[in-house]
Amino acid sequence: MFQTDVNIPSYDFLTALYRNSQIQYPKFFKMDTLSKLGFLASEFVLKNTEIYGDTPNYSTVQIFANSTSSLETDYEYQQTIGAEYFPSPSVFVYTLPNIVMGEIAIKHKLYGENTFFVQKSFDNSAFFQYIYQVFLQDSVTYALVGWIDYYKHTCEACVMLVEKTNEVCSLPFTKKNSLHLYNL
Amino acid sequence: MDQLIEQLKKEIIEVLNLEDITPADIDSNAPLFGDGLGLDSIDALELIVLMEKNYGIKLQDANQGRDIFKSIQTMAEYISKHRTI
Amino acid sequence: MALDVYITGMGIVSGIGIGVDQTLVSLREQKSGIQPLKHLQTIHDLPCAEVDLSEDQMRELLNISADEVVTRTALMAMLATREALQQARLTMDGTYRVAFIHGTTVGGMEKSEVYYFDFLQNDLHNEFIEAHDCGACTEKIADYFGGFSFVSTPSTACSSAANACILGANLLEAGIVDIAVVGGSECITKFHLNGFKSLMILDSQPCRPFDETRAGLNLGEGAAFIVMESKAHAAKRGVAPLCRLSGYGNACDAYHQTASSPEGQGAFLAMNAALEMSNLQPADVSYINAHGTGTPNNDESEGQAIVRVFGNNPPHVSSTKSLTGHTTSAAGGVEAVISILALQHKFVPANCNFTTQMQSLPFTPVINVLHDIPVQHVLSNSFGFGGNNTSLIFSNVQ
Repeated sequence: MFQTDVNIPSYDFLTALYRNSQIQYPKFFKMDTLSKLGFLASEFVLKNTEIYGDTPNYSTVQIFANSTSSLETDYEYQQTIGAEYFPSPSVFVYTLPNIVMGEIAIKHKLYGENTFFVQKSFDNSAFFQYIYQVFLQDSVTYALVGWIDYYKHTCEACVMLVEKTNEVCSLPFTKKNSLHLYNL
Repeated sequence: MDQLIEQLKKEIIEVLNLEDITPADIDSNAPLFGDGLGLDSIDALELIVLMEKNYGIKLQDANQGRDIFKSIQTMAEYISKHRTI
Repeated sequence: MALDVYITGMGIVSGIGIGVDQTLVSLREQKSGIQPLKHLQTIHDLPCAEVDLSEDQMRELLNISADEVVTRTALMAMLATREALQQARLTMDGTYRVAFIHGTTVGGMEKSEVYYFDFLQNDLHNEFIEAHDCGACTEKIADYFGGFSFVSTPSTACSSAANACILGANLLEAGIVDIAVVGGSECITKFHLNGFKSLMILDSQPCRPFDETRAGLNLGEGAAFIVMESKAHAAKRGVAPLCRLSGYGNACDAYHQTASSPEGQGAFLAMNAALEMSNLQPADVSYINAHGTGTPNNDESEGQAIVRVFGNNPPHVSSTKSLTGHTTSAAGGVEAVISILALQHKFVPANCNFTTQMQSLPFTPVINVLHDIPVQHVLSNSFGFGGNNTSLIFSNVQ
């Protein structure tokens, strides 16, 4: 869990977090803020799991959502087709909220199902139902689940790794538990 | 030409978000794509925008970029010949 | 266990027609909707496939007053949804639990870019600020009809509407809803027209999918929705299904933010997953409605994936984006409707503007409409930026 003084621009905070975590991934700097946020949160969650690394993985699905889609980056892109007309391809690429899942997939070679929803607020019930349904498939073992929102310099990221297992574990994934985690 | 090369290095670092790289790190004759700086197809498109924005050169076909962007040196040579601003 | 998902209604508006009937005629007669821009106010002279209705005309058709806050994307979706509900004979009166799942990326952006400077300088059009959101767009459409118990907005670029179909199927299988109305809508905006142009993947001529000389895509716009429910539920309501969704697959290409891998890994995985769920062999598929945008990259990648799954002699392949343009977030829905029409009316739509076989592929697309041929199973591909690859298989009802 990370907290910061509200006056630090998100860009600086995420860069500081990246450097502090010692992840060596220059492509990080090409990402937009939303993707950096989701990418970093996922790195922390996936580290020390078998998913981390570049072995092709077919059994992990990604389910992400937020309330503002890619709005901040949309705004940034809009500036490039304003008074001075020079549309930026590298910014345009990130005017889609699901690109963050693509970035995570590229780094960890995740070939599984992936989907992104735009919702009013974190809907633990909808997430639970979707994960439950997806886990009915034999081929799926893990779900990387994230609520990542970035708007007006406010970042919000809650990323969880949910595992389908018969073993008893410390934190069963239930609607109540997931909401509790989000609220922390 | 040397001045243009130095300027290009600075512009490329900024436009392509090459955060941990300084102009001194970039070999003017080394390949920009593939192994070199690890640039990709989107970076190539941004370089096309840079050519127009900073030097008034319009490339209509992305394939032209393949030869022009081989290295900083080839870029600088092309720009010196064709720049309009 | 086989999916119990049956389609009982569909609706569509696109550059090739308003409604299913007009769309069918255009497909059968190979009439493309790709032409110079008419409605979008832009300096660019690029061939696109616009829906041939102004906003005023759409409002009139929907009985929506001029002062109500509605965007073009929402209006198109309302027209398509209404047609689908009518065909399914579904009155939204709360009798059933009905989901509305609407894939979009642009939402109300077409208004935001017109009123952007007003938003900054005055209060004249502030009511459109809230209409910008994808989710707000979905809710506007849902509220127009009323009675939906579950509303959601998948936003995964060009696979959004196809992923809406997957979510709908999941909800039905889980027993969370009785009926799912799924699809997508997107109108052309300067925002993404310029964006695609900056990626240099637009063709200044009508696109040529799967052609050796292809140079890019043409943008399109539209909306399309299908109504899904179980076999028993359709029978209970006395509605005859048009076809069934027999399988689907979604996979990530994990290669690049916008480009597809040379071997089409994501596409390969998605198509195989759909075949496995449908319990079909590749040879059982009658027709592949390809994603086929006409970009050098996609058609190569998808082509390789098709060969990997189906061999050197695949089923009939065509890209109807050569008629409808690339309707982006709506594409999965538009092409679902086209696939269902192919099943119902036993024809294979053409892939227009093709002259030269791709050197790297052993097959050519269907270049003239094939009439009166057996069509049992249709596979529809929709691939989005971010490597989001979805395949759906629609099949005739047994």
